[in-house]
Amino acid sequence: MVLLQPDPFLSELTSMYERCQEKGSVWVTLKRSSLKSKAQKNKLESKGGGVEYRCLVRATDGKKTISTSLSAKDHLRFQASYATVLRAHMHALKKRERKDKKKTAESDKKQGDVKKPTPKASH
Amino acid sequence: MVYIASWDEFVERSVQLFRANPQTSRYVMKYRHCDGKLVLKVTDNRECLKFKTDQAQDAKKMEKLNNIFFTLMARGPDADISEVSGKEQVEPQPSKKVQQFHLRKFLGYLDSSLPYHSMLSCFQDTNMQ
Repeated sequence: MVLLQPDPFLSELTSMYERCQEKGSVWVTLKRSSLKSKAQKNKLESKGGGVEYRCLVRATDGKKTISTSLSAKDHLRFQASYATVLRAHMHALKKRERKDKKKTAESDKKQGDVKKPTPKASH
Repeated sequence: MVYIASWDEFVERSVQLFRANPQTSRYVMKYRHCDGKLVLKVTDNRECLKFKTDQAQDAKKMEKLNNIFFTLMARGPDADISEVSGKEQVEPQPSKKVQQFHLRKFLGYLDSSLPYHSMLSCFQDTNMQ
């Protein structure tokens, strides 16, 4: 597993998405982690110092794994460009069909038309 | 382990799950381009919540959930997520500026490596707005 800086991570993630267009999946995992072993954590805690937690981001296509870690300062910057990468590559998802929308709109109108006359009749 | 059908329920339960067990919980997003499928999973190794979709509109919802989890994981489980989980229109202007600044920086970075046409067009769209 390679721990990268956030920007190279995004560029690697981009090429990972491009490699997996024909076949295969890409997994992206977010986890809160201190990036330290249990022993190291216990040491730090026994000394009285707090353990610093960061957001660990890992991505894999099943063959290669890359990762990066984000501090509380980094995450806003990262999440914006991460969203851009996702938006650029997730275009295989289905869009809502407009025909259906029109049909439902028409049926709504019809229903509305039916409803409207009744209050007039009552007056 | 069953897929949760309702998005709101999935978000609520997954945030609860993370807050109950921030050390062991993880959030996984799996995207399969060839089948056009997106699966979201949140688990603490005891309980597992999953959501599956093939709709483009759910990708936008996922973006919001991403932001919620980035905030929770980078700032801690007690972080305030009301700002991120709320509607996008409520977002203050400075964040947009930061985003644009970063986009430009990112663009420069990409220019120096490979020509990602799809991506560049996407950037142009965002700049137009």
